Amino acid sequence: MSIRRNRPTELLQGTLDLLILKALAHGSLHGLAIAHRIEQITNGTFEVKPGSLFPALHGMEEARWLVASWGESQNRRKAKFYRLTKTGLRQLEKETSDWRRVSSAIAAALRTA
Amino acid sequence: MPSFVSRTLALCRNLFRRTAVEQELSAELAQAFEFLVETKIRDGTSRSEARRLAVIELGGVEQLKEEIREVRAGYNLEALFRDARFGLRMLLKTPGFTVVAVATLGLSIGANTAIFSLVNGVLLRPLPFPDAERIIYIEGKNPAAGISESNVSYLDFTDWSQQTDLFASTAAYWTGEAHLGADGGEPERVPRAGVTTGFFSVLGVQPALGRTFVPEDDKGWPQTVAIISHGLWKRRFGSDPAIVGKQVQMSSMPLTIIGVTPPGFEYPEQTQIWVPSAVNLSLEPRDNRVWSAIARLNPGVDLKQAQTRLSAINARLDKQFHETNKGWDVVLSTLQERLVREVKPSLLALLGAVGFVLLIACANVANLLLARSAARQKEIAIRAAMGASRTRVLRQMLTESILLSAIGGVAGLLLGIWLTDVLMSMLPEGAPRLEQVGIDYRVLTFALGVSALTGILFGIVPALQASKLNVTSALKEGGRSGEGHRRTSARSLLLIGEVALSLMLLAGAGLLIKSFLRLQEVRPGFNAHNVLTAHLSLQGPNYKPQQYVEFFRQLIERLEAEPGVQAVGGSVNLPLNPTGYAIGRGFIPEGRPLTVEESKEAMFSTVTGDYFRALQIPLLSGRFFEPRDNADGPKVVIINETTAKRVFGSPAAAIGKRLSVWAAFRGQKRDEQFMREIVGVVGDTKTDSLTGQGDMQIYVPHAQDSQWNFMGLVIRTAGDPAAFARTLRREVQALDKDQPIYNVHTYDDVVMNSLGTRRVSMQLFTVFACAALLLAAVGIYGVMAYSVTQRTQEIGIRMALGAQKSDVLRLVIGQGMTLALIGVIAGLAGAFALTRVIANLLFDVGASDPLTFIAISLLLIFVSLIACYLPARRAARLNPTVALTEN
Repeated sequence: MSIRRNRPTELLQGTLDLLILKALAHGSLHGLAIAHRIEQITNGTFEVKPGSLFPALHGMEEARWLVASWGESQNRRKAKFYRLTKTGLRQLEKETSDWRRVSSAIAAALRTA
Repeated sequence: MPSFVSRTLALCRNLFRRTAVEQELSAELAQAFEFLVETKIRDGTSRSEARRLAVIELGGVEQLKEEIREVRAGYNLEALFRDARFGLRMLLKTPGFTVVAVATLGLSIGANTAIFSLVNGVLLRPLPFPDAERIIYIEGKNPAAGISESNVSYLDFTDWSQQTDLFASTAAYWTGEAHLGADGGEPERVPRAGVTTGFFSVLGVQPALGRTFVPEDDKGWPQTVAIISHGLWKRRFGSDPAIVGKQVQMSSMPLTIIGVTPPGFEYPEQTQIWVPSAVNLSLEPRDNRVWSAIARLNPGVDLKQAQTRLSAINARLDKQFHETNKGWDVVLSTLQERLVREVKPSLLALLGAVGFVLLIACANVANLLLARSAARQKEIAIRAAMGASRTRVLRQMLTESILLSAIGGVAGLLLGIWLTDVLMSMLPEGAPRLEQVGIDYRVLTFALGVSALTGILFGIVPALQASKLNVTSALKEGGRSGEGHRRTSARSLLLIGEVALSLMLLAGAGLLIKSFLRLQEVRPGFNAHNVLTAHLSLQGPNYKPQQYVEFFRQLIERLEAEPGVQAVGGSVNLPLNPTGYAIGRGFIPEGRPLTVEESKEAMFSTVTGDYFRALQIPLLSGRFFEPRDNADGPKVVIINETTAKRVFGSPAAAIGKRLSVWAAFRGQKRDEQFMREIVGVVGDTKTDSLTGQGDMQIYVPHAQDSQWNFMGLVIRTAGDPAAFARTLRREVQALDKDQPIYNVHTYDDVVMNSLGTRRVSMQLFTVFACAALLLAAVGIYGVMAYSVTQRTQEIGIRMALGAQKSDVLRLVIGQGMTLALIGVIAGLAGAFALTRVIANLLFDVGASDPLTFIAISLLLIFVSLIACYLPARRAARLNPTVALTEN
């Protein structure tokens, strides 16, 4: 009955989740810092807009992949920091291997003439 | 952590700590905004430019928040609460609409709940016995002799009982009455059953005190032991814990009480005392089909298997005992089905009828909602413009209608509980299984389900209509003449449906009323007005047959001496059978054997006093009994008209002829070994029910057939017969203070009760049909009135262009009546198909009786006409100037 917001395609949605998990693999970050980190680690390929970022973060928090806590940012402001849970870590491993399988399969497919 | 747990935790947090969650969200986004600004300032942008860019990058904060909320657990639930809150506000804003809708729904849900609780108690609830579905009832039938249901023979029953692979246990029983009070207590009569040893194990009943019967208990007649009901134990024996082993006098026999049944157990027919059946196998004739038989099937055996096997046994018995068993077969049914067989068709018909009322109510409320949603077009259009999707609007509308039906449902349930009590008090005495009627989880589920279903049923069409709205045109048209064709046609269809449904219901009610009137026109052969009836059964060691005769002679003499008494008599068989059992005897006319046609049993009555005058049964020929027809006088008999015509040709021809009476079963010394002279021929009376006909009846004077210790008295009074009951009791007690009178009724009540559930079904059906008619009339009126409002401008233009009042009247009435007529035709088609269902409830009226159908159609057309005329008149009175400038 509810009206679902228009999600990006399944693949892209999954990609965003994977990138967020990856960005948090080495420690906690606050919302836009996560977007920054993603931009860095993808060499600027992905620019994550707040409009996609925050709903994704909240969804993952409710799924308990992430937990959030309020802390102080570098500029000494209060900010909401996200970090991975054990479930999140497992999810990261699973999605990483899924992605590897899919991408190598697609790469193989593209190599054929 | 399993994901559903985390979702549940999140749900709780979202729902119960909503403010905290929202604040956190705002804080997080505010921080993000600041972060963006500061990043941009660090990159060298000016503060104001940085803020502008940050706003653009973050997007609308409120939209972003909403998007985040949507991923949260409980979003749907929250939306539901919001919708419900809003819906409630909307309902409160239009109290008129809400009251009408809730009342319509409440009444029809209430009526449905009441009827359903009846159906539930009587038909659905299992009998209160363990594994009750395995208890079966065994009946006889003899299609060749035209007998479709009959009690069974004890000897046949013993043959069936030997099939131990089919039956875990079997039992046969008879019912009668027992007289209490010879030992000093208040005299009273209670229902008694004589049962074989297996009785309690068939039913699976354990005694509350003492034990049940063992084979050694049955030592023949008279019985020495008894089991009493919990109710009797409480009422008459003060719940004496040491009752087992005590002796009581029952019908002047000393009986030792060996057990007390558990509370509520009174099978069969409110039995209070159970005694051994005292069957004497060596004397029991095989054609004595007076026994009731029950059995408990073994696990894994179904009814069909048992039926096949017993039928096979009966075929064998037919060969072996051809004289007594020719053509006799056996019919098995579950005990539950047997108990409710007579009332099931009426109950189901009523459930159907009340369901129709609910459908009509739904159509009415749907119409109201349609009219209202037309008025709410603007609001809906604004919602749509603000981004509410079609499903969102649909959900809002449905939430409102379900809210309505929920309120209606609660009102209906309360009303239903009350109506159930009213219904119960309307039902005739002795209707089966009424003690099982009550509000249980099934009734609650039903009421709930019906409410939810109605909410969706009447809500879905208006909701779909509303959600299909074209935003721009709705806003532009200002919600005035913006009603689309689709909405109009939806309303027309609802109206047609409503009229059709009410016609079907009215047709059913019409047929039942007509049957009932026909039944009341049936001449019972006697005059029931101003007659009091009561039964008296002489008990005690002081009474021997000759005292029976003397007692009743004296009593009648005393009663006749009372002021206001016109005639008093008594009979062992009263017409219309107020006791529920009848005595049949055969007879043989002098000088020739009976033909097959004649050989059916006659209804046999031993009468005393001025019986025929008390009931005003007409004398067709000869004379009534006189004092000289006593034990010493020549033996006489009076026959009824049917017997006279069938056996002797005519009433006059029968006078002076002779016949001998024989008992129902041969081989017993109950046959009269002498001839009786026919001294009179009287008119026929209805013996069993008003629907029966053509029974032969023979009457003999009590003085010449003195074996009967009981009489059904009939007392014709000048005034109110009910007022005479006290005098009757006093006179009986003056003769013997230990003799109770029972079955005290006015004869009008006996006639009424003989109609049984028929009368109640007719009344209820009529009430439902009237409700349907009223609802349909209101529905038509509502639709037409609304249509007139919608067409005010158009009508104004027509009038401005020269249309007369009569033209406008014709326009509006024509529109409404076209729909009503289509509904009538559809309804007639439906009625032809559906009234067949109630065919077996009808008497002397065809299921598609043309007169009824025509009358009902005319009635509905007339009511529709009125419902159309009122709005039409309003339209015709419109002032064109006002109409055109309005709005």
